[in-house]
Amino acid sequence: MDMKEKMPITPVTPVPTPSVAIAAEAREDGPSTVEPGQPEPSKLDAEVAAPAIAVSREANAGPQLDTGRDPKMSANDVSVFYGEKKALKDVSIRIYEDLVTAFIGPSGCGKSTFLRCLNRMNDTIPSARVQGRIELDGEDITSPAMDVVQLRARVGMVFQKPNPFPKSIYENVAYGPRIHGLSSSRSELDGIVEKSLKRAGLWEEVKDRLQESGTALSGGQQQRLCIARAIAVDPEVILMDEPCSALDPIATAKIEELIHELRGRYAIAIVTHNMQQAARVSQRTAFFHLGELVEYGKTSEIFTNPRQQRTQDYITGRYG
Amino acid sequence: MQQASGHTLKAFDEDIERLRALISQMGGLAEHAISEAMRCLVQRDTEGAAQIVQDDKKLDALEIETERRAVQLIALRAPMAGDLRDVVAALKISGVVERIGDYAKNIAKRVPLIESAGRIEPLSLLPEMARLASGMVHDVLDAFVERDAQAALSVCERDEAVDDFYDSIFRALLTHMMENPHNIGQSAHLLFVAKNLERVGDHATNIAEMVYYAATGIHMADRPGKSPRL
Amino acid sequence: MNSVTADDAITRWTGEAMQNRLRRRYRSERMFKLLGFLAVAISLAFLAFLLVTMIWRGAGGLTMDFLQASDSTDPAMAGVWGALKGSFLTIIVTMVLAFPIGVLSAIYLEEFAPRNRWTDLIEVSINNLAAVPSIIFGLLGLAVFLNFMHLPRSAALVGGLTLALMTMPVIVIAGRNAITSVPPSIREAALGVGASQMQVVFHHVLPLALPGILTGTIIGMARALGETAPLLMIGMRAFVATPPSGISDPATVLPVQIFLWSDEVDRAFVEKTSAAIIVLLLFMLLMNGLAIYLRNRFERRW
Repeated sequence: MDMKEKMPITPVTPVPTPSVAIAAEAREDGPSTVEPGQPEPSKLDAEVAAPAIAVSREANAGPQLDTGRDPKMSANDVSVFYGEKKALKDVSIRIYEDLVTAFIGPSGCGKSTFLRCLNRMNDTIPSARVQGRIELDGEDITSPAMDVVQLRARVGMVFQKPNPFPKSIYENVAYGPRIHGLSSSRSELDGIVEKSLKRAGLWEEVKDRLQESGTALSGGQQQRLCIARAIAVDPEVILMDEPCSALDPIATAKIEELIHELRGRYAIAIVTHNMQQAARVSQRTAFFHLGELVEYGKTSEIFTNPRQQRTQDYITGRYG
Repeated sequence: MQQASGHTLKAFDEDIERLRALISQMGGLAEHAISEAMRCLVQRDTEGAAQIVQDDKKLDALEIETERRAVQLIALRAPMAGDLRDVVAALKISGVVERIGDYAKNIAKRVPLIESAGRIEPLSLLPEMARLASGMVHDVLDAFVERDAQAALSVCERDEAVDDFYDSIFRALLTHMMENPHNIGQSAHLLFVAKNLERVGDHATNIAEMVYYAATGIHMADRPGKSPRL
Repeated sequence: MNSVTADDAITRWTGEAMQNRLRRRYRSERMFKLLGFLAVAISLAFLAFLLVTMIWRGAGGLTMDFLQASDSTDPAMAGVWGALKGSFLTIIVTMVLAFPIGVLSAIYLEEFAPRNRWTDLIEVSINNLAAVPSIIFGLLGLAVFLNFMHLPRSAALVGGLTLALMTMPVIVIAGRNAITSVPPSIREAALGVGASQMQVVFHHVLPLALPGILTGTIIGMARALGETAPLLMIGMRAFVATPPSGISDPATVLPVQIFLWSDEVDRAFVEKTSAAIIVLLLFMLLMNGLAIYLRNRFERRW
C-alpha cells in the first residue's frame, strides 16, 4: 500500500458546528468512535476521530470503530470449504444493532456465502464445511446449546428472488409465529400479522385481501411480504441477500426506505452487488474479494476515501 | 492511493481526462495573463493590457464549461472515492483559477492609469513577485495533473515568500508616498497591484489544499501562519 | 457506422437463394406436421378399432342384470358384479398398503436419507422393481403369501398384497420426482423462518408435491386394476359364484373374469366378454378422469 502521501496529522481542535447537523450525521453514520487515551469527544465531534491512516494497517480492522459496544453478531476467522475448494478465507467481522452493514464485492467473492453462515443456512449444502467461530450475543451458534431452528428465528433471512409460500398472505406471515408458538390465541396471531405487515409497509395495500394468495402480489409487494414474514417471528438480526436485484427501481426505493425504518429495531446485514445501494442504505460496508474480507469501515469513508487499493479499484469501476 | 488502471468504462476515463485538460488549459491562460499583465505594466503597454482584459472572457467561458462538465460527470457516472474527489477538486479549482484570471485582468486595467512619468522605484519589485506568484500557479496545477500531494504541499510553503514580498512593497510604497504627495495616486494603484498578486499567491495555496485532498483524501490541516497586516 | 446499409440488407434477404432456402424450411416444417398427424392418426385408429369392435359386440350385453349378477355357468345368467366387487376390494387393499408406504419411502429417500452408495443402490433397485414383469410378482405372492404365510388362496387380501408390491415402486418414483420438482426457494424460505426439516417437508414440500404424487398413484393403480397375470398366479382364477363379502373371501377381479370368459367354449360368452371389457374400459376412464380432476384440484402455482 502506497503511503507516501499520507503524513501524520496533528489533531485539530474541533470547530463547534450546529448540533442539528451533527445529530443528523451521527444518525446516518452510526454512533461515534471512542478513542482510548483521548478525552471522550462529545457527541458533537462525531466525525473528528483520528484519521483512518494513523492506526491499524489490518485490512479487516476498522480504525477503532464502534469500540465500547458489544456486537450483535461476530465472526472470527471464518472459513468455508466447498469440498476441497476454500471459498471464504478467515473472515472476521462484527455486526452491530442499529446499523445496516453492507457486504459488497464482485460476483463469486464469497459475500453471500458468508451471509448464509450467519444463520447456518450453509448446513443445507452437503459439501459445505464451515470453520471458525460465529457468535450471536456472545454465544457460539454452532454449540449444542444453540438450536439451529431457534437461531433461524432469531436471525431472519430475506432472499434474492421473492419467495412467498404458495399460501394466503395471512398464512405466509402467520406461519412462523405459529410453528414457534409465539401466540396463544387467534386474536394474538392476528395482531402479530397486522403488526408485521404494517412494519413492512404492506398493511395498507393488503389489509382487505389477507386471504388472497401471496403469489398474486407484484414483485415488490412479494418481497415486502417476505420481509413481513421474517419480522413476524420477532428476530434480532435480519439478513438480506440482494433483496432488490429482482425488483424495478420504484420497488427498490420502497424496500430501501423500509430498511432505513427497520434499522432502529434490528441489526441488518445486506449483501448487494449494487454499490450505489450499499452507499445509500448502509452505515458500515465490508468489501469482499476472492473470498477475503479486504476492507471494512464506515460507509461514508469507504466510498470517499478507501484505504485499500483493491477497494478503490472496485468502487470506481476499475476492477477487471 | 494511485489511480492504477483505467476504468472498465473507457468513456469514464475520457470524461475525467477532458475535465482535467480544461483545468490545465485554464491554468495556462491564467499564468499567461499574470506575466503579460506585469510586462504591460512595466513597459506601459496599454494595447497589450486591453488585450488581456479581453482575453479574460475566455477564462470565464472555460470556467462555465468546466462546471457544466463536472456536474454532468457526477450525474452520469456516479464517481466514487478518488474519482469523486478529483471531480469536486476540478470544480472548485476552476472557480479559483477564474478568480486568478480576474486579478490579472485588474492589474491590466491599471496599466493605463499609471502615467509614464518617471521610474517608480517600488515598481521594480513587482515583476519578481509576479514571477513567484505565477510560478506557484504553474506548479500547483502541475501537481493537480500529476496528483502529487507533496508538490502541492511545497507550493503552500512558497506563499510565505509572496507575503514577504507584499510586506516589502507595501513599506516601499508607503515611503514613496510620504516622500512626495504627488506620487500617492500611482502608488495607490501599485499597492492594489501588489495586493492582487498576493491574493494570487493565496489562491494558489487554496488550490494546493484542494489538490492535496483530492490526491490523499485527507485535508491539509496545517496552513502556514500569515504575517499580520496593517 | 453500420457494415450493412439498408439496400444491402434488402438484397440480402430478398435474393433468389435466400427465398429458396426459406421455402425449403417451410416445406420441411409442413412435412413434419403431416408425419406427426399421421402418427397420431394411426395410433388412434387402432384404439378406435378396438373400441368399435367391443362396443359392437358387447353393447347388447350391458344390462342391469349383467351388472348385478355374479358369475355363473349359464351365460345368460352370468354377470360382473362378483368381479367388480372383487376388483374393488383388491384395489382398496392395494391402496391402503402401497400409498402410505410408497409416499413415506419417497419422502424419506428424498429428504432425510444420507447420500451415499447404499442409498444410490436403493434408488437403482426401486427403479428396476418398477420395470419387473408383473408375473414375477405373482410368483412372489404365491411363494410368500400363499405357501409361506398360508393366507387364504384367491382372496382379495392376497391379491391386494401382491399388487401393492407391484405398485409401490411406481408411487415411490412418482413421489420422488414430485418432491424433487418443488423449487428449493420454498424450502429455503421455510428454513429461513425457522422451520425444522419435518415441518418443511410436511407443511410445504408435500402439499406442493401432492399433485404429482396423486397422479403417479392413480396411474399405478389403474395399471394394477388391469393386471391379470399375477392374480392368476395366486389363484384368483377359480370359478366364484358368490360375490366376496370380505377381503379374505375367495374372489376374482374383472380382468381375470374377462380372461376366464374368453376361454369359454360357449359362444354366448362372447357377448359377455365384450360387455365386461367395456365395463373395464369405463372403469379405467373413470380412474384416469379422477386422476386428472384431483391433480387439477390440488395443483398450486408457485
